[in-house]
Amino acid sequence: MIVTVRLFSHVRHLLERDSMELHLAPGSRGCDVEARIRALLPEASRNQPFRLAINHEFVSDTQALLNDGDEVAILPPMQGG
Amino acid sequence: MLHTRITEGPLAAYQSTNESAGDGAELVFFGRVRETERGSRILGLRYEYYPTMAEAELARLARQALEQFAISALRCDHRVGDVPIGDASLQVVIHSKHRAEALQAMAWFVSELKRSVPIWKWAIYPDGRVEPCGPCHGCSSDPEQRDDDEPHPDAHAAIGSP
Repeated sequence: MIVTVRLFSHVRHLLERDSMELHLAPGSRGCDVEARIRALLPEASRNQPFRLAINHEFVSDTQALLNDGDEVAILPPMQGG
Repeated sequence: MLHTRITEGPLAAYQSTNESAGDGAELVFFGRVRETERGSRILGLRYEYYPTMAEAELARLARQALEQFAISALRCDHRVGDVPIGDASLQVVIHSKHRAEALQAMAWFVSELKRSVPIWKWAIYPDGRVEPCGPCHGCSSDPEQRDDDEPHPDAHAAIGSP
């Protein structure tokens, strides 16, 4: 299955893109996407805190199962205001 | 009354309408762009946001404030895109019967907005660099604890700006 990953702030800056598509095995979870993105980051940046959103909703359980066509957002600490 | 909006372009300054005779407090907060970021001069900030989710989270927070505090109205306008120094990026207006409720609600709302509405700041420097602001490696993720104006230990190359 394919999911779209949205990237913001430092992650977008470091990966030089604002989104990407990931091909995942059926049964993949939010944490699998997070792990894939962390692996792409420079080593010094891999432990920075993220929140995840799936289809525009925060997920507290990164074990949430993904479906084909889902949009997963990697959300670094937010800075509105 | 509830109003939330994320918009590009300058915010129209709120004009008091004095419509609510039952409210003794009308509290207006502007968040403005400072002239420095991490100790360096900037031209302004570029606000990046996650469309759809940011609007939804802002509206959810406003509804929660109305439920949680004894306030009668909350309106919030948040600007995105490029915001020059001195311009307002955020305008929040709260009405309540007494001042204490409005002050408490304002402090809570602005703190929660910084914590949970998917909006991020990028600094626009005079030399043309545009870099993400705030915490990254090892920095505090708590918006109440971090000092965005403190010189940052980790300078990134200027790539991938929004």
